[in-house]
Amino acid sequence: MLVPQLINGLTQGSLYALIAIGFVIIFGTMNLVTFAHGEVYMVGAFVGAFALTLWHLPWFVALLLGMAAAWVLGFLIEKVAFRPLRTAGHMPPLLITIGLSIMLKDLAVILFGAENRPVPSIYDQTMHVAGVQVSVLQLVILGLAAFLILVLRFLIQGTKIGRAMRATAQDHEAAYAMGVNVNRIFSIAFALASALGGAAGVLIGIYYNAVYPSMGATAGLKGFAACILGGLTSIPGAILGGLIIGVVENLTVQFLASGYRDVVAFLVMVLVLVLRPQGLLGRKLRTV
Amino acid sequence: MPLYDFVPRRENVWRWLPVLAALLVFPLLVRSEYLLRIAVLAGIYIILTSSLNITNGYTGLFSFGHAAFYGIGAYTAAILATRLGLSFWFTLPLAGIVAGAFGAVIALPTLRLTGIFLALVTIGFQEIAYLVTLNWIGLTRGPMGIPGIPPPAIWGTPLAGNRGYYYLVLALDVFVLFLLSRIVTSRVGRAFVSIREDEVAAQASGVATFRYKVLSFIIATFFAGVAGAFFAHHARFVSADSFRLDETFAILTMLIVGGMGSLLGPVIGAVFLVVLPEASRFLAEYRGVVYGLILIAVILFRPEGIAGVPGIIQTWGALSRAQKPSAVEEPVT
Amino acid sequence: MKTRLLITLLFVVMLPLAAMSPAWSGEPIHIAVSGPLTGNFAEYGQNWQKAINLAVEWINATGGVNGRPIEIIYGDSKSDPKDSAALAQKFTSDSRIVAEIGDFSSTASMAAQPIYDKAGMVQLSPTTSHPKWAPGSPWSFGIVGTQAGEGPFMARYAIEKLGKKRIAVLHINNDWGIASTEYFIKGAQELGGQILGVESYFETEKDFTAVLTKLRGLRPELIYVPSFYNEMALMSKQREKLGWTDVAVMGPGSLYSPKLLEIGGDSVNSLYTSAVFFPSDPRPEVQKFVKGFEAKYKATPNMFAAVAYDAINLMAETIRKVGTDRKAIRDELTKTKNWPGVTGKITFTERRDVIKDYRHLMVRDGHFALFDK
Repeated sequence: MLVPQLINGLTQGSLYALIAIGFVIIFGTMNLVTFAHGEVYMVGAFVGAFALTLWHLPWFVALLLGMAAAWVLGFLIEKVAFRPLRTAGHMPPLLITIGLSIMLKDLAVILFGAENRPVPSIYDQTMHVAGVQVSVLQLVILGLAAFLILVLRFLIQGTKIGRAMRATAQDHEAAYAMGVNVNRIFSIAFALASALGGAAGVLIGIYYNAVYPSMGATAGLKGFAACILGGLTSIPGAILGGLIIGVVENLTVQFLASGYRDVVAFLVMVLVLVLRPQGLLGRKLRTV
Repeated sequence: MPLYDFVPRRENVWRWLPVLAALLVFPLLVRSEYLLRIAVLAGIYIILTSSLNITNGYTGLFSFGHAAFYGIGAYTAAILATRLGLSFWFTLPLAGIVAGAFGAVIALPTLRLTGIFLALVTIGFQEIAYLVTLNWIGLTRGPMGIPGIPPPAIWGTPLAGNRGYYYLVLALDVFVLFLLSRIVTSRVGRAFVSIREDEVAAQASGVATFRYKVLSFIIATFFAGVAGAFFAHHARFVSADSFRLDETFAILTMLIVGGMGSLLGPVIGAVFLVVLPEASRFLAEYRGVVYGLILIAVILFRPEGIAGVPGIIQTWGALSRAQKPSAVEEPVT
Repeated sequence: MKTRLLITLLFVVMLPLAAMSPAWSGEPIHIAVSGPLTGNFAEYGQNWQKAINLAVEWINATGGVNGRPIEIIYGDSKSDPKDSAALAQKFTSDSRIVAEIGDFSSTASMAAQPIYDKAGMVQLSPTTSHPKWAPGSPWSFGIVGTQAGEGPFMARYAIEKLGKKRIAVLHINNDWGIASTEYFIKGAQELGGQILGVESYFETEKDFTAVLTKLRGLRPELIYVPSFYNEMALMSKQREKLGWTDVAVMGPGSLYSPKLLEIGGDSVNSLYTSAVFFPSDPRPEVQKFVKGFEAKYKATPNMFAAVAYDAINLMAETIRKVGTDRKAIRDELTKTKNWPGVTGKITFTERRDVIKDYRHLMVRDGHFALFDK
């Protein structure tokens, strides 16, 4: 059952990668960390779930709606938490995202109840690829994740905004001096990262057939783990980190037991931080 | 004198006697078990918040794993009490020692890191502790928790009803706060503050910063373990999911709202945030929203909290006032 | 001065009026209920609540218990052991409460048990089926039967009725799941069944793709899954997605709940389970309950409503015999013999649990149906 577990792992890993890429974008551009990313992911997932169950929209519309909701929420968070505290160091905004995380999770419980909200099955057939039976949904998710990443790459490498983002990431004071509207770039970067998180949320909801208010907590932390494994400043690193964690988690279930699955991500994160904080592909960080 | 400067001294203790008297008389006037229970919880959180204050407030570290040590203390007390029949008077200090030992073990490889990296590694450790507790069924009974923890016994009579617990936690709080006040006003405390204010300068002046950081961590985790033991003997049941990241966030919120870096701050923060959600049915249902909003409001409008040292939040994580906050520390050669 | 006199007079007149409750000759009898009203087990607790409210309504409409109305004090435990323990402390220190009904899961009941035991209050659980629970305290009672009875019954169902010998087990990792698995495996092995593997999952798990893939590799004919409706629904959908459809799925009576069908949809068709209560049972007490429930709630009661209904009625009956002293209630309960409940006749063994008759059930075309082959 090695190949099916690998596919399970790659599918989940691709979604961890989307969350991790969000962290990389935010840290790379703004040099800041957000603890509310898991809740953005959760909000995106709920909007997608409602699109499917209440409004009976086709799944790709649900995905777009989830991403849009996450984009908007990300935009608002940046405005509330990060912009007013631009010169306040990185701790106050982080604490505000903690406050937002606590609030959003509780609001979701109050509005929707703490229990699972079921999400209908989509693409629940299987097909044979090279003699192995794979779930169509897994292929769809892998394809979508890859597509989103390619779109992101195009955005960052091939557009003017992308170039402005890269310039800001390198040195936002210099970028400002060159005429880049740094505030606007920060806003876009945060919203973009949030949209990716929202996409992951919708897809996870479809994959596991359930969304629930506390789904963001662990997902956010695993996204951190993937990000750290890959290197806090590297998008390819985040992708690699996500995939590795996804695969190792599933192999752990196969060869050990289901209960140890979540330990993988945190063990990896702790080991990387203690032994090689720059991760696999990150720049070596140093103090001045 | 600003609130954050308050330290109990012989001269000003007499001013607090009326408060102490009120605290002693409180349960004689208030008979409601419900209200007394809230008071006991506030007492537990005073210890938790004050202990987190040592690392995060006085020393300026980013410890985000406090709930794990709280849990280690609680489980130690639970296991010792239910398997070995030890009484509260033994489990309390032992829980502190075990938690402190774990603190030492975690501190050594991780306190080289600073800022968000230290935060993430402490979160990682916290989640690992949770998962190990959940899976190691032989030791902790996993998701089933440990029931049947006996109440503390005073002169042979077990406590029944929250009034006894109230006096017990009051005594414990006074003792712990007294110890902490001695620590922070001593050379050790001044070393902690110097690390928080400007670690590079402290190191340059000969302060063994790493050793003091580890010491601060051990002190904080020791008292978190003590709080855990008290919790175990009060709730009479422990389970792993009382000790996760949300719990750390709750304690952190109490610390920030009350104010970091002062003795009164954590006390005020803990009492305020334990009592507030119980003030009305409405608030109790919206507890998370209330906490989140208050935390955000404090950071935006009064970052030092009610009784905290001004300026800590803004420079938290900065190695030196001369530098922008950064990530990994390298030893200064 | 005049106004003060007037107000005082008003109070003097109003006080006795206020103290008079309409048509009752006595103070209400308070019974506490600790169960999951919210959270992932909410449907079970809400079923309890409906049945209990119906029973109390009927009891109070016909004069109450010895002229006193029953008043239920609900506590939402979410079937979480932390909360059930906290509620136990609250209930036992409330001197108005004479007995407690609850909790839902074995783990929640067992967490609260030492507290009820120490304080001396009856804990009557409608659904706790762990064999070690009721014997754990002289104050604990269970009326749904134990896994020591259901396990072997399900093993016979799987091996003798369905002819499936190669079995794998996937269970929820808590007291109840572990006990269910233990007794099922013992029964299965005695009948010549082959247990190919045992896996477990924690209550909050959502991803079953990995563990299902692992079990599939063992090629079992049937998987026995001690679980509840939420996870079984997710598990079934994910199993379908993985294309693993050539395996029989069976679980204990914990699955007999309408929400399983609602959430699981097509993926739970042909699920095998058991029941101690079935609405088409012709016994008069069952029909009265079913018709009354349907009239009040426009829905057919399920097993969870039925056991809660039995619990409150048995409790009321016991209080009617011996009054409201907590110890007297306990002592009288132990003497219960052949009490006609809608889930069968209730007689407490010396362990204070009961021996139940189970029925074979399966899901057919989106409904629960008796398995008749």
